[in-house]
Amino acid sequence: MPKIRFRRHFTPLSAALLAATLTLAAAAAGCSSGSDAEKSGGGTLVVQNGLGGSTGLLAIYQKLNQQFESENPGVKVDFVTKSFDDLAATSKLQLSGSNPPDVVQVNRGYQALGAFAKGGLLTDLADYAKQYGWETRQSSSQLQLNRHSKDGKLMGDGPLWGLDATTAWIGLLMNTEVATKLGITAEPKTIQELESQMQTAKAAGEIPMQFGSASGELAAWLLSELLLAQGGPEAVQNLVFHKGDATFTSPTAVFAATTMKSWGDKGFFTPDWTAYKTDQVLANFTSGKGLFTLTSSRFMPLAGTPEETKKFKMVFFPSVSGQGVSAVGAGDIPWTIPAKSKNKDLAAKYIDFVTNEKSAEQFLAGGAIPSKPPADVETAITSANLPAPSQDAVRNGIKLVSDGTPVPYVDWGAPELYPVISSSFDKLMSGSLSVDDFLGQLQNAYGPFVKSLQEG
Amino acid sequence: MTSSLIAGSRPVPRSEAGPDARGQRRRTALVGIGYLAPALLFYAVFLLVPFFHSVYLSFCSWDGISPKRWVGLDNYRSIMGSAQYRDAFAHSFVLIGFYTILTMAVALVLVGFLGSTKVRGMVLLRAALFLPYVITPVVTGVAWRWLLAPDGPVNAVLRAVGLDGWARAWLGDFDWSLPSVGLIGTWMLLGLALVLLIAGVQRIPPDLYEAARLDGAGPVREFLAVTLPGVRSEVAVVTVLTVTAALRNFDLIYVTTQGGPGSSTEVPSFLVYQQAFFVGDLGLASAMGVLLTLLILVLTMLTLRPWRKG
Repeated sequence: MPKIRFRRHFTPLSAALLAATLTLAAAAAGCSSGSDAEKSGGGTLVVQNGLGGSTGLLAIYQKLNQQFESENPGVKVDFVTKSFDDLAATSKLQLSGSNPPDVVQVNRGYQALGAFAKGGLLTDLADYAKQYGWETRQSSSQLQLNRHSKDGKLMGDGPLWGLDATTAWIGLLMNTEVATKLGITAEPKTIQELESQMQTAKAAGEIPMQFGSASGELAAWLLSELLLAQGGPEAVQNLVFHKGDATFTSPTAVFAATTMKSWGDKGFFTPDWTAYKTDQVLANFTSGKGLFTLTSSRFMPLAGTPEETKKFKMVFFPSVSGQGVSAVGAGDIPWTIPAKSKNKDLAAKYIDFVTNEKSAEQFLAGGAIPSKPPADVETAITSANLPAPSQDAVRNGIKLVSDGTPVPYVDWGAPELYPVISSSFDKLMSGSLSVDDFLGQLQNAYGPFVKSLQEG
Repeated sequence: MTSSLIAGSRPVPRSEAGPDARGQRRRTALVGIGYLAPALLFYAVFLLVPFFHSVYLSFCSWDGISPKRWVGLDNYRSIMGSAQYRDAFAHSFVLIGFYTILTMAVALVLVGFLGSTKVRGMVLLRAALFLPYVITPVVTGVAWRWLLAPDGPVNAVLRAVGLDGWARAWLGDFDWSLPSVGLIGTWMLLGLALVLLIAGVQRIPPDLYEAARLDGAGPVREFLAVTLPGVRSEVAVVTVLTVTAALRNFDLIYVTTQGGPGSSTEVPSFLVYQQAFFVGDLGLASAMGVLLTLLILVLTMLTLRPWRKG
């Protein structure tokens, strides 16, 4: 009897549990596809960015989205914000899925934009570029960074896959108060001048250059800038675009590595610099310590009131020759249209809207550097009423885009370059790697990758 | 109800096995499966399927988009042949020294004191001790980054007491960054170890302590003869949890050092993340993940073996 009671009572219960589980699983699957369909259909444009943390830029985009909505009645922009790392980590899966966003920022590089172009996950923007005149809106060196061959082998070549709305560049931030105290009256025009000014600072007990390698990017920036300083734009472009049999064992690369090492040996960097991340480096510098730091214009405006920050000046990193206007710089993560976007025409209209001259004015007013420079730069800067270092960043950024050559980041040359630069740099500076070994490790991360692409 | 449950779930002896008994056994098995089904389904969908898929991927070269290419053991060979990957595993074993051995040693000493004496407000003390384990590792990491910064409080204290030579960039120092991360982990896991061990100690009958004292045992003897044997199963649990934490360690490394300076704090799970999401080599990342899983499995089995026999 008890057995019967057991069966009657418990078997239906377990069956019910099983059924409930399956129903839940089915409901979960149903829910997700339902909400996604809702998102991309019916006049809603899903726009996904990787600007998490860039509050200034996001605020400008919010305004632009409202304007886009009012110019296109019935359209709603669903603006999805992710951090840069999250975007890089998830976009591959998203774009391969059947329901990607309509417009999405895609990071450059062979493992991102290149791999997506090869996989047929993005829309070739040629027709839209013709329709909206994008080819003349931005310079060829700007557009080049958003081109990639369809076989994924060549960056800077082939169809246009994306368009960027703003630009960022790498330069020196100089504390003019410290400089005046040291008797330095002008920014350095050559590497030699920079070294002598840093030597002056060192002798006076001031930190010559606020630096930190805990997050890796400053090491990659410094390497790119020094390659550019010695070899000119081509030296970096050839490495990134895999042209002219470029290698990391060239005399230009030896110069860059030797210079970095000598700066470390001479004590030009912050004491204990291996412990500082990029944001801490900038915080240390804006607290008034140090003559120079290496920074990106995307960190503008600096923390502090305009009065507090007016002593800082953002200038170009000097070259060996002191000639030409060039800097490591590129458009922000480009806006692309996934191949499976359901609103391609509207997506293109959105990209056109955020990259046009009217939006450029608003980016500039918010302290960002528009990829499309305004007709009258000085008037725009004056009316924007920006703090002094932001004015430098915008003025020089526009000069770089209009008259100079923005040069890509050298670590775009191969997927493993960034982590290898980041870890080998510390070893070079500590002396556990020689200059040759350091460059050998970079070449190991670069050469076989280039070869594998070419052999395909 | 209880009696019916016991009656129903008791296995039917073989000698009684007739058609009715067999049918009943089948039904009992079905009931068991029914109970297991919800958990099993989720376990299979979210754990087993991805794991076996990773094992398959570890034999492929794959960027996540293009067609997968079978490369056999190539990924495993590259890992074994790379000094960077071997070093990463070695760093994990250093971390086991901190996360497991140091944590256990400190926890046992504290338990030795707490076990034989009555402590007032034990509940509060336990909650306070457990707190570091409850705090998200990311928050722990950020707090310790600040504490161990070159001009942070730890160095300030050292300088204040005249130990200037000891002040250093703890997390940016080639020799000290890994031990520093290890000590942060020890701080984080100590609470968990203590709470588990104290729970074990509280289960030991007080008569045993009294008997030991009557026999003239001192505190050390008492600890070795009564406390330690009384908490051996808790020691096993703590060992498994801390060894696993040391080997899986990602969040703390990501927040505090990102593998640096140089590659002195790189650990396997950090390299898995780097390879999978930034380099885009999912085959190599999967192979690394599979090796890490196997290592954890072997170490867990080795840890539990003596206890099982006992």
